[in-house]
Amino acid sequence: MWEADGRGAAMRRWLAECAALYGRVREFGRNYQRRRELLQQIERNDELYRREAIRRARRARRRSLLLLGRLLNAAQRQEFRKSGHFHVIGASTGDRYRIRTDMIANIDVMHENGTVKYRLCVRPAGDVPVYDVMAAQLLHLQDPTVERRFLQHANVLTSLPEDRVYFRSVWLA
Amino acid sequence: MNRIAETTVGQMNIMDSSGHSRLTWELDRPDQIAAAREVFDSLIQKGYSAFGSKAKTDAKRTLDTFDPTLEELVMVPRTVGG
Repeated sequence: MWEADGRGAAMRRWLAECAALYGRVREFGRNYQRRRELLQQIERNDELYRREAIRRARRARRRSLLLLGRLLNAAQRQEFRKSGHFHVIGASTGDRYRIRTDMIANIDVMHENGTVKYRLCVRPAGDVPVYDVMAAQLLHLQDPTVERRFLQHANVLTSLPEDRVYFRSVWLA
Repeated sequence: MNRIAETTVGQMNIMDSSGHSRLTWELDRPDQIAAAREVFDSLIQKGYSAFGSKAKTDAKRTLDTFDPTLEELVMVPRTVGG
């Protein structure tokens, strides 16, 4: 009966369209699943990379701390363990410096009375851990032939109030 | 008691992002000394400063040329103002 009035053809077309639509929906679902898995894989890789970067940074800090520990004399080592900084006497200027555990502007030039005259910002170039920065500063300042040349590279900054100076024990960090 | 009077091994600590990388040489191995000298010279050309001492516990002094008899060298990247 439907064939006679043309509704059969319309029904077949409609069924074919439904089947095509269903196929597209399934394809979309498969694509969506693939992309979701890909995204999850990227997120897992990011997390692994982030953890590995943290591990690498910690290893680097430990290694640089060992090197710094070897370069300090006994008194400096003790002071550093206790308070996270150490003092150095400039080999050619005779100035007294305090090197703090920090990457930026971490050298305090001291007055005789123990207060800070001003700060210096000078460090080795490149991505080196904080204790390597401190070790490099120590090596330059305690050497009579390079201390002044080292100071020429430094940016001079005003002193910080003592309560803003960041003290901490590296052994508890 | 037997004690080793002098070390025959030198080491170069090169500061980098890993903390430092280490290069060692033995005094009776000219090939190792030549390799260490080559690294030393290339780093100096890149602007590194070298500090060394006869014994590891001694205070380090700056160096212009490679001395294989030093027990420890520290190579510091060029200095920049912060």
